[in-house]
Amino acid sequence: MSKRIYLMPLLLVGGVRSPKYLKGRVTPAALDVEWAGLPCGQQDVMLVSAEVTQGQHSELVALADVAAFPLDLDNAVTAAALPTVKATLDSFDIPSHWVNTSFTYRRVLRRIMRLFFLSQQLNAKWAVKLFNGTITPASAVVSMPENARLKLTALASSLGVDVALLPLDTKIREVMRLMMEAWPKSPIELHGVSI
Amino acid sequence: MALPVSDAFIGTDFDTLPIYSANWTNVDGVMEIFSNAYYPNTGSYNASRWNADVFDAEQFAECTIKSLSSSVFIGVGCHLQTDNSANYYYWVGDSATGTYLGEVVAGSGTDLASFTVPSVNDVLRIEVTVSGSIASLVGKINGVSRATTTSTSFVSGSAGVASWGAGTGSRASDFVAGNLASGVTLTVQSSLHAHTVDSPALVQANTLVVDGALHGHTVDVPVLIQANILAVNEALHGHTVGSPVLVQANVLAVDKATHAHWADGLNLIQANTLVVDGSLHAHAVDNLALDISNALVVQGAIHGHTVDSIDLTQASVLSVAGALHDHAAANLDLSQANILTVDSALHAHIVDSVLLNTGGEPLTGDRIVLVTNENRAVLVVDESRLVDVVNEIRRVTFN
Repeated sequence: MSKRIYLMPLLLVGGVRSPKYLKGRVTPAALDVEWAGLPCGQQDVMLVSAEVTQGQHSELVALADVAAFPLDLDNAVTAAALPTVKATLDSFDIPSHWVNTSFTYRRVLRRIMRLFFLSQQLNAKWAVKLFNGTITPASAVVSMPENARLKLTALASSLGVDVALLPLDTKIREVMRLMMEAWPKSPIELHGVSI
Repeated sequence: MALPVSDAFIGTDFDTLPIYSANWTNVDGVMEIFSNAYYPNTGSYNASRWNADVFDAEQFAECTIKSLSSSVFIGVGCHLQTDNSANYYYWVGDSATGTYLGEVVAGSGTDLASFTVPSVNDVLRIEVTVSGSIASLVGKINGVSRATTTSTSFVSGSAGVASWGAGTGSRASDFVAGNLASGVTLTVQSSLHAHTVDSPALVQANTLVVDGALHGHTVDVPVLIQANILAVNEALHGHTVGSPVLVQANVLAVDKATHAHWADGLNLIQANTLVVDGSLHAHAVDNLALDISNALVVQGAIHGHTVDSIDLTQASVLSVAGALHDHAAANLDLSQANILTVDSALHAHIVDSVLLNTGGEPLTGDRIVLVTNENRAVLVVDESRLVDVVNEIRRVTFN
């Protein structure tokens, strides 16, 4: 048994969300293991740590919409793996343009967790959902609905990021990158593990 | 009221919590009394917050499970919002099928962690600590942490009761809530300090960091188990631990030049090799027993032998090679097989009354007494001649 970290969809049923492939209130028949996760605000994706066997891990990574982090998070993202990492993050509407081969998977994970925290605050404070299929991380900030844009700007400002100083065609993913970098750098705990 | 607070829900069945007690405010759905416990009475989320006290950001809430059904989750919550945004909170809920730590934002819930299915009469608890804008959530059963995660959705609020689903099949009571104690972090940063705690119990979650160079540890009888690593990096320090027990896995390495060994009762067996390399040293071993396999080699220039009563057998050869020496053995009994060879120029024999006894037999050609002085010799070849020599000794002159 080992704790493995995955990105997987959240399944929404009747106002309740559970990770799609792990046992929850709306997924009672899914894999029954101890797990803990971080949702990305209203986005239906979760970063989840699960205590699994090698066999259970193999079952999970065989699923098309599940991505696993390596067991050793201190491995660097190789040039060969970089395109897959970027494509995987993009598939979950997670900005990926900042990832390069100087990053370890732990550093990538920390940034994703910060991004998820930002999305949680947007949701909890203002019920804002950033991406909806039409608006993606590659969309320009000016293309966002006004309420979402104002709330994103306010949250960025609270972290010292002045969106008003950015060019008009600045992408949402670039604002998110600046906010991720502005987030306090202290370690983040998930499922009893300090990331 | 003073925190922590408690409530046993001893009231009238089907009263809502605000009717049962003014200390409760409904924030989501309807929570009612049944059989001296609380249960949810709407099909989705139900929650009530304790309104009689203001809670710190770091708080807890717990309840005792009284009944469990498979589809109704009953539990407690923290950071229930106290403004108009009613249905926002963290909670832990329990059913016969599972236990989940979760959050509710604007009436929509997300499972944040899953852990063991508890039993009736188990104590279910949620704890929230806050660092900056991050809340750390811990779900516990009977005091044991079973799930942890983090969230930034809320960092303050009140404690209360919470549930998902509807029906009296899942109920809980014995609500307790309060602030988590502060000051649980021990940080020692100064350079000069002492630790006098007796028998400290360090669990995995604690980290003791000692940064200073000069310090002393006076803990009595520490027990170091395999998982512990004691690293002392500074050059000057003292350990006063009594009676440490070093097991086989320990290695004691002494690298420095000056040191002493006080082992008593040295026992040298055949397999040992004693090598003494230094020039000036002494051996004080009493009663050294050297058996035939030992070789005693004395190489120094000046030395003396004080062994009394040397018994030289035929196989022994005593060779004295030095220039100036003295033999003080009295009554030397030289038997036929012994050879006394004196090679050097200046020496004296102080044996008194050398007696040659032929046993009454005449001296034959084989029994020769030869007395030499420089280039001269007196040869005695017959007992009668010996008398003559004695008698004539005053007369003999050596030219």
